[in-house]
Amino acid sequence: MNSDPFDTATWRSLGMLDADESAAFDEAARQDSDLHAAAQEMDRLSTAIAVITTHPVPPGAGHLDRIRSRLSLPAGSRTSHAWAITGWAAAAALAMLLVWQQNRRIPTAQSLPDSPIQKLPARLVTDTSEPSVSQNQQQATQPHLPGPTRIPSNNESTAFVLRKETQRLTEEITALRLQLDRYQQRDQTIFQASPGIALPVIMRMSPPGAQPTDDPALAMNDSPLPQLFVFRNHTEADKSSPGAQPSGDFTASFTDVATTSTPAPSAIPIYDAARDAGTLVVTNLPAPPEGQEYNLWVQTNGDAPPVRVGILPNAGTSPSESFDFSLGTHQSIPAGFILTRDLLNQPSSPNEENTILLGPQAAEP
Amino acid sequence: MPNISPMIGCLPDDGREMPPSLCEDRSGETSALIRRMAAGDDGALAALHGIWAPTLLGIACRMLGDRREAEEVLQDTFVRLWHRSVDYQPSQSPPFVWAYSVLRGYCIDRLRYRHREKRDSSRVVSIHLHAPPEASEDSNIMAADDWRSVREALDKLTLEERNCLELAVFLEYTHSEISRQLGTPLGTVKNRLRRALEKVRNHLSRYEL
Repeated sequence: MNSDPFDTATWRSLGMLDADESAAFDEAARQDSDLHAAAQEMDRLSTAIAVITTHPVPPGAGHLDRIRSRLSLPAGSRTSHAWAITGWAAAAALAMLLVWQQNRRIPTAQSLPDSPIQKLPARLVTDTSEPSVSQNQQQATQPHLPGPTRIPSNNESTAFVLRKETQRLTEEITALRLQLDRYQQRDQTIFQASPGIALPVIMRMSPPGAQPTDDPALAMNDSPLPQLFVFRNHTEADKSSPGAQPSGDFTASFTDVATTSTPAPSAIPIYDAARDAGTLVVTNLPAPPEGQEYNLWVQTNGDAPPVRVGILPNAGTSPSESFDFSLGTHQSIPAGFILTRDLLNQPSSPNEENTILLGPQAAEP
Repeated sequence: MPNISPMIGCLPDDGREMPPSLCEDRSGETSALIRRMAAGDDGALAALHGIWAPTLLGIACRMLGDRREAEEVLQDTFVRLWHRSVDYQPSQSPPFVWAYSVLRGYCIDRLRYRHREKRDSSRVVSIHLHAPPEASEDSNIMAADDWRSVREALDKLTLEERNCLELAVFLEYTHSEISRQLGTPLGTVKNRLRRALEKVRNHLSRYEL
């Protein structure tokens, strides 16, 4: 057998070993884990190649039934079809019942009881002479009818109702389609990604209650980097010699900065809804205490509860960090983000206790 | 931009995510159907037949060159899968790889039973290295990224390597028969096959040094 396990596994996978060689390989694979793994890998590879390079061919009708018969299994159950037919039959019967009941409610000329027309004697109808007093009195007591009223027949009334209802539904569908087109056009304008151009949403997150700045780009002013390069121990000689290299204890300058001022943490989420791609730039975020972690939440609108986006892995290791994220949808424009600090694997909804950063925050008047 | 890292997920220490194996049943659906089949659920058999039968029949047609015979082999395959579902172990191989191995065994038997000289090689269809229609990329057979990566790997092969691979995968030729079919020395055939599969493996390998 070939010393290279992949070679032998290849020939075995492609069926190129005769029966004796195959048996020997199988026995060796049971003893050798590397050979077994190689055989498994080649099996998967040959399967993938066969699948990729083959067009599916649907089996002929009855193929599954023939398999069932060979296995002595009952033929495919048709109860599902029976239920479907029964359902449709029930719906049809109900529709007919409703139509029949509707027809029963619509009165006809023949079925109207106490019809004033029926009460008139036949001779009075044909008599062209002036009506008598009794006839006038009788007519006065009867409700005034504006002449013979033509009551539509059953079929005509049903058709009329259906026509009106259809017209109403058609108009409603047209209106909804127009509205849908407007929304789609609006969303395409908002969410269509232009090549090489992103339309990001940029916010500023700061500790709760902090006064927000108007321009998120000004967040760079909070960076501790400029302060770290303050030369603290310049001598007079250094100042009088512009060309001389400044001397001094740079270590002291770093320490002084670290102890005298602690920049507040902040974050800027930059999110492109068209591509559902975002980056959270975090500044001056301290490392979470042991057993805790930072969680990012997104607020889609004012009423809905915030939705957890994810965990910030290894946060707080440097003054400025970036984390990529996505919201899993292209149709959501976030209204705000919240950063909380929670126990490991125990995220809880943002509240006053666990919220570290949130934004955007409205400026106090 | 420094320190960019994905927000979510349990990252291993080296920062790289372990990719799933090729043809892996990522959703677990087919594995669940096999377990139900082992319990005697013929509905699971019907479901698996609906998922796998078109692809397996296509492979069998290419191997055997005869639709009628391929359907018979497919029947044998599903009967065998039904009986062997009790012994199936997901740790040994993914579900579809297991089914493919059963099908291939039956095809090999049929091919060995025939007289190879009488087989009409003109019925062999070349490997379609241009992307098949998107609708045929069944996620129940392979994951979408597996489809793409294997197809890309096959595109990188030379014509000679493709021919060798085609004959090996679908016609179950031995080395000497491929050599005779292509008119090339046996050693060259072996090298081409080895090189073709090595190229595909290297392309699919996600562990780059």
